[in-house]
Amino acid sequence: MEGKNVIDIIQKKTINAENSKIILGFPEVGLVGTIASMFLVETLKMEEVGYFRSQLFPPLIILHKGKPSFPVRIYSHDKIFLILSEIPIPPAAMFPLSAKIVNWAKENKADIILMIGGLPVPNRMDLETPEVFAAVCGEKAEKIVEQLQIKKLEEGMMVGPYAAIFMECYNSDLNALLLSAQAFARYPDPGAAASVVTILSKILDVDLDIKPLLEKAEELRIRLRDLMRTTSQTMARMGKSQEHGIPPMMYV
Amino acid sequence: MGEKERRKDIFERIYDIFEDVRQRIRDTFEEIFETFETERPMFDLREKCLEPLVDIQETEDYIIVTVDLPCVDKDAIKLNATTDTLEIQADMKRSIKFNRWGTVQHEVEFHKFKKLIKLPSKVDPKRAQARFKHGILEIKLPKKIKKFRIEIK
Repeated sequence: MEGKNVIDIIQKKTINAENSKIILGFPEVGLVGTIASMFLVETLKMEEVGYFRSQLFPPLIILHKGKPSFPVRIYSHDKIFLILSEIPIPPAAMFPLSAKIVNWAKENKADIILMIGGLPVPNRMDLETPEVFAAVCGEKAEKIVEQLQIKKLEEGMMVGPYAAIFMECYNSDLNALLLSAQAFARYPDPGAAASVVTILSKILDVDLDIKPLLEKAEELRIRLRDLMRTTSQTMARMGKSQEHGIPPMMYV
Repeated sequence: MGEKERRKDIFERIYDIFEDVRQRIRDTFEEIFETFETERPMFDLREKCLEPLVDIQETEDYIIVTVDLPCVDKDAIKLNATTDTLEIQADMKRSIKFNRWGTVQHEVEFHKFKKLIKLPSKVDPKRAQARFKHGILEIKLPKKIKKFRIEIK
């Protein structure tokens, strides 16, 4: 690892991501991406095929069943790739990480990048089943949204790692689709994650039963409290609250 | 440059230096408090209780506190408020067991949630309202505000 602004992808296995769908699940609003990613890894029995290494990440290693692993990892199952992070992405790493992921996707001729996120809504407490909204970049992404009749986020601002990914995808002409479920901003929201998983099962054309996820919801909310707290602090530092604002309208 | 301008220039520079120092102190304190907040454990092993996640919103007339209380029934929640604090205690409907908890690496069990919140401004606890849905507790506390109408001439 040379230079402190460098992010390396270390492949543990040979990766063939041609025509694949790359899913991103980063800790954000309601930890929707984290919860949905954990569920996908478990349900699809995805295999860890690589990880990201950088001095821009905190000096942190995850120990699971006595084995160490890096916090930002790549999993795969058939033509589905998943990049998940067990830490909130530090603001300084957002641009280099986004560029790395999008370049990697381009080099490997991936089909589309799918991002899993949460949309903070003040009335979440009164919603039984959170609705999923989409932000799109590229024709393929537009087509998916049209076919599945997902409501599009038409106006507003995006802040954070997914915004940086969007910028890179737009710049590199790569299809990208953000699936954002109505969620609690500061509490882990397995219900919101279940809503996104339901849509993902149609996009990926795999059977994903959300029942086990909803059954585990209370336990997940307890186990993810610490990650939620650090994520909330990172979101505040990167100015996530700007998303609540009205964008300056150049062309009314 | 005249003597007057020179003095003004020196005072402005001194003022800028003080402003800079003040800003640096403020940033350092914010950083320290943020670190404390992140590193403070959200559990008490002796009392076997967890600290719930809390969100505090302030409007012109209310302080709205929401608390994430999974594994809790409404009847198990005890709420106590003063003019500037809110205390929450809730027994879980079942104990939550962690086989290898953090650095202690042994089995631990938690039975309840507990949290004392310092409110950002004075409230009237007698007029507070609370509701509990899907494991989220919401408490709406009216602020103690004395408003005076100002006449515009």
